[in-house]
Amino acid sequence: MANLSNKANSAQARVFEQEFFPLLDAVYAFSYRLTGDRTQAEDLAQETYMKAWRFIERYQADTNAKAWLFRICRNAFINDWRSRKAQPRTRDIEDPALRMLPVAESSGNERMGDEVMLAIQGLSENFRTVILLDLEDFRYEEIAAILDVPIGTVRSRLHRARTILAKKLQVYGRSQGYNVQDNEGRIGEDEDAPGAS
Amino acid sequence: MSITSQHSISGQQASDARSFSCLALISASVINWQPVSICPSQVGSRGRQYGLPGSEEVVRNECSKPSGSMPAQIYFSMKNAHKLTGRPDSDKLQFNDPIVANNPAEPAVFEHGIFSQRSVPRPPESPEVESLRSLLKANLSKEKASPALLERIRSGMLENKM
Repeated sequence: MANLSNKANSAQARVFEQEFFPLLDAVYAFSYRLTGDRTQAEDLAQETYMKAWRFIERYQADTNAKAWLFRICRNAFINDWRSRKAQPRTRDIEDPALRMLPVAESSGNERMGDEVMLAIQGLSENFRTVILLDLEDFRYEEIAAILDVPIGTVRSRLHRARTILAKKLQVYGRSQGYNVQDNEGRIGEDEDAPGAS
Repeated sequence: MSITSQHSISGQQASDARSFSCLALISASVINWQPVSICPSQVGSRGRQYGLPGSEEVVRNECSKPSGSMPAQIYFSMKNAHKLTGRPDSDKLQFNDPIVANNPAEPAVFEHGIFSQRSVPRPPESPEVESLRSLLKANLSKEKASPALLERIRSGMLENKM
């Protein structure tokens, strides 16, 4: 019995080493962008991995570890974090405190990325989450599973979030050599509009 | 709010009626002008079944075996469940309540078909969308977890060894 238990433990530890730990940076970054605080992000990432460890028998090795972990992380954030932690990220993007939020570090230009980060932070939580998952290259089906919403909702939120971002970043994007087009006039028409969540 | 309904009931109609929902019965009675029986204890209440607040019903006259001439009087009363039962406010559904939000301890959270499939690369989208995605990706900060965090997780796993 003890042998069986040890064997199971070592197999599960191997899953962690080979599949889960290589994703720690991604989980931490996602946590950071959800909480807006490095300490809270570390706590959230740790909680995510502890929950994954507790329920590891429900994970099938060599499947979709990233989507599984992101689902746990997002759920932990929704259930345990959002209700009890202050959320500086939900404030208006003009809030001076948001100037302290992380921006991409560049050796040549420390301000590079400010516009992008502020534009993302200015999104409502629903839009921001779906954009962050999209930037992790999840497929729509995976995003729907992670967020536990219909795929149509994912498409709708993504479309609106991109429309908002394109409008805000049109000038900046072109200055950086990107073809960012604001060709939609319908922004925030539904219940998912910024500030509604 | 209190609703009182009085109907003359025949035995066969009453037993048939119990297998349908209240709404269907009321609609049917309006359309066909048939006397019907409404029996909340038979139809059941999802809220009451799960003990949810705000769904208390006061039935002052439970349905009994109908006779041809006896009217059935049913009082529906929608009241504040907490006042009614004396339960404290802490019993109210919280955001964290598993009924409201997915609880990470619930197996359903981990059992989605998509998680048991290998991830495949997503197809490219329109050039405009891809351009926007590239801009966003290029400007997102590159966050890295600290070695201390990794150590904390490893030691946590050891402490919670199964």
